Amino acid sequence: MEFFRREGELFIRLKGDFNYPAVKRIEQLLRSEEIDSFTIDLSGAKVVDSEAVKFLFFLDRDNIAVRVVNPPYIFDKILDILKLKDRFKNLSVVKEGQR
Amino acid sequence: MDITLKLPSQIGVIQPAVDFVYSWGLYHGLSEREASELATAFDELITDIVLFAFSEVEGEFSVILRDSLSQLEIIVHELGEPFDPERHRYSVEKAVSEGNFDGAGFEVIRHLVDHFIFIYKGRAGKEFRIIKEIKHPHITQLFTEEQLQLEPEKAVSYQISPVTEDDAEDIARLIYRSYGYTYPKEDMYYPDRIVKALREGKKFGVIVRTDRGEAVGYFAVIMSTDSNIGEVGEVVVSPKHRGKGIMKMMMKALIDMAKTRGLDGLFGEAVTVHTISQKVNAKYGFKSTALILGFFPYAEYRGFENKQQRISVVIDFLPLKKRDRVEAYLPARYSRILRQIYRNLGIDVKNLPVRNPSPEGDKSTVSLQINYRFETAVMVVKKYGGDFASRINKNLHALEKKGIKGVYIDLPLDEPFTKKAADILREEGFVFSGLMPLFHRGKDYLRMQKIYEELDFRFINVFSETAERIKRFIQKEINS
Repeated sequence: MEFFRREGELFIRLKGDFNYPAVKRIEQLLRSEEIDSFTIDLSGAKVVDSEAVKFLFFLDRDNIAVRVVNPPYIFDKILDILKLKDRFKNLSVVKEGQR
Repeated sequence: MDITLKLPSQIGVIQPAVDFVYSWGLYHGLSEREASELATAFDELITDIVLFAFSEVEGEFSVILRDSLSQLEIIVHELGEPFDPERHRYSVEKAVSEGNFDGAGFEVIRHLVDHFIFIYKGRAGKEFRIIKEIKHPHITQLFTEEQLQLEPEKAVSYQISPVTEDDAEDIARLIYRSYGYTYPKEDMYYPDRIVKALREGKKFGVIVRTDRGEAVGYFAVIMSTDSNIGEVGEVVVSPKHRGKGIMKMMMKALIDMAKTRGLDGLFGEAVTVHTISQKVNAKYGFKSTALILGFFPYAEYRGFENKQQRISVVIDFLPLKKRDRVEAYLPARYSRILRQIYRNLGIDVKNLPVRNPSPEGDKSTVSLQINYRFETAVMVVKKYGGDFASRINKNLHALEKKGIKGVYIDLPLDEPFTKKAADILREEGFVFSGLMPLFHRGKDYLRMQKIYEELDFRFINVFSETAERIKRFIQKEINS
């Protein structure tokens, strides 16, 4: 997992899947940081699970702007299954650099 | 082939295990999207186990990856704390208002796979099964209806040869042309599945072609996965070429091939909508040993009067290994009929006495194979334990919830407790089915069955005297 911070923003590039083990590592990072914006690049992920979606949902609920870059197909499907598509306040999905 | 993994219940195993399942899915023919769905469902399941199954002790869980021609099945077994996914239903309202995502993982699993089953086994733990079907192209997607209906004209002569992977498309076309959509073994409509089965040695067979090279006959033996026997299970002769001795030619060749390969026996599952297959089997020395009720879903058989009910089959067995005498523990209620079946096979059976049979240990070992398309399940008892009755009861409960229509259980006749197990199963509503000779691990089994749909026995047509006797016996037992 690669990451860097810029002012109140945290950028993360996952090398594997966005699931519980990844969420735990990200949560550790966040423990020492106050952020108002969170960007995660999922170009290398094939799996996104409900733990990951729950994590993003809680960030969103805390008024942190969430941006997901190049999510795999399954991300949209999980949001659909959990009926959360319209429940995020500040979620943006960027595909191949296009908002 | 089964792949078995034993994993510690730790966060560190999740990602490697998920990666493995993803690659396994791709390897067996899933698209990238389907493999990602299967891997995500698996991720949800094992994450739940790692997080919640073992709160105070260090635990482990086992994973079996099982591939068949048409589906991939993952069986996860753990001995953690009691839990029932049905009681943890996801609610988006709770998630949004309370931040409570309880049940979200199972909701995701249910949507990403074709079947999801939970079996609570009491002291033997919990079992989760997730199944993803493999979407191979159907023969009707590969050829036009006109091409598929092209029936070869009369031939001057026929040639028979062993089946190879190159014959797969011709076989699927032959099946479609002869049976339409009614052939019960659906894999035969998918050339890729035929190729896979041949490549993996799951079957061998013969194909008959006209002098012009057109395929007009096919017959194959499907190898049993846990015994050295095979099923004469796939047969077709093109309508215009019937009555020319093609069937006879193929059966003779198959029996010779089976002998050359050293098989202990061949068996057929002959449908009872008509008696044609049973008569052919009898002609070649097969002997009836069981009647399996409602084994296939209803299908229309052109030209035969058939009630709209599930289809029953007669098990016809051809011994290829000489056995004059066997010793077995025959349950009292079935000892007479089992003796008659053995005698008909040319085997003298000695019924071993036992006073108070008791199981060997605490836990039973019972394998469970579910055919989701046929809505049937076969259980095979490998070892009796003190929990036998409750294990069967719990399996039945899970299967009933899944809408399974027929449950069949094979009891080893070399185990003394089988004498008592038959009575236990009778109380659960099972009835006699028959003898399954050499069916698992080279041993004889008593099959019992439980059917969840009423069947009209007048439309179950049997040919041999023994099959008629078995049918009467079952009917009497059901009515008693």
